[in-house]
Amino acid sequence: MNAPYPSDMIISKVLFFFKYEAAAPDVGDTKLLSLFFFVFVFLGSVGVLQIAASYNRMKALSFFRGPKTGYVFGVCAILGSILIFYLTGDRNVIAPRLEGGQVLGLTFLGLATAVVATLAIASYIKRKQVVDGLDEQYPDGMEALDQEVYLPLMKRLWSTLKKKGQ
Amino acid sequence: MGMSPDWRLFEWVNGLSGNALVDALMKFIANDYFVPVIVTFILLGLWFGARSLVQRRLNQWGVVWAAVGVGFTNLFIQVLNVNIGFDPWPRPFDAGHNYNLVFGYVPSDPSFPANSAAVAFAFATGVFMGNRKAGTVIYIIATLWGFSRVYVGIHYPLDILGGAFIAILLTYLFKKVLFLFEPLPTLLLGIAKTLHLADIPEEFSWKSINWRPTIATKWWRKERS
Repeated sequence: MNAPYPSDMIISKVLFFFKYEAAAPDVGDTKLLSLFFFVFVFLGSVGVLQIAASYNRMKALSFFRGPKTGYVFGVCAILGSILIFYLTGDRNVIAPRLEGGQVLGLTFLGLATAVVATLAIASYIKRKQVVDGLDEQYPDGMEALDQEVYLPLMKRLWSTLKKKGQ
Repeated sequence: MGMSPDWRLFEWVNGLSGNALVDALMKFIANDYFVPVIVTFILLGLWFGARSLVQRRLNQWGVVWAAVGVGFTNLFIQVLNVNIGFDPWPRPFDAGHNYNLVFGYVPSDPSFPANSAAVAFAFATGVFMGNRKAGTVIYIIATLWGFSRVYVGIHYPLDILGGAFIAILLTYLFKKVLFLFEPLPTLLLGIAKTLHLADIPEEFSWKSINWRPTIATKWWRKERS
């Protein structure tokens, strides 16, 4: 028999220390519920990002030219996400039910996916408005998102890192 | 023997149930998923949604403190309930007094302190330290969530107050000692800033990171001086 990886041993020891496996109750088949919960967080987060982008005039996040369309889309996405989650089943039943760790993990996954998807979709929609990626100077941090879509910013970062590496 | 004030308060709040419309609303709020997700939406909006750079930095610090606070509060409660086995009293529906359980519930953790209240109040406290208005809104949401959990019959008021107290204390404490975890916070936020996804830390360059953990650095400096 193969020896277990050290990382597996560490993880199992941590789980044992916190008695995580023993504490987790049987909450039924949570696959479908997890999927709906992920859609809830993802769609709602996309809506929040559109509202924030419209309020801030953030070019890299916004799907639309005018802020009003962004606000309407954002509100519809948030309400839609709530309706999809709560109208597809009774969310107060005992089983299936998501435990705290699952809620945390799926929330983080939904948020991260929403941010990546929003940046990618906005980059695709506004691909013809790109000024010039590599030679432009942009401010640090999120201020750059006001001026340029995300893909050229990443290209510029990549070329800077490559130059430093040479 | 007379009932404790906590039991009496529970029976009064829980006794308000019975109106179908209010019950449905309270079921919706008391749900395990609704409030955490709505609060997460608020945090996401705060991270991206401030017009001025100064306010955005404050908001982002608030979100960081909230996330750290939630993490440590949960860890503390996990150790308290599971490892130490602190479980002072059963859930209201197992305690043998008059109650209305608005929806079926099988608990996976002890009644005291209420984990739900702890999470919501940790979020609120972290955000409040960066943005008072948004923090106040989350405090109101957290209070409403706590009230609804008593209303539907799955917690005592003292469970909610205990969770809130622990969360506020630990979040404030961990904001003060976050520097002890350096260079991890600066490194993670620095990566996010390089990827144009954060505006903190204010002055950031890769060369400025102190790669030694802060406690070790202090000890090392003391030894040398």
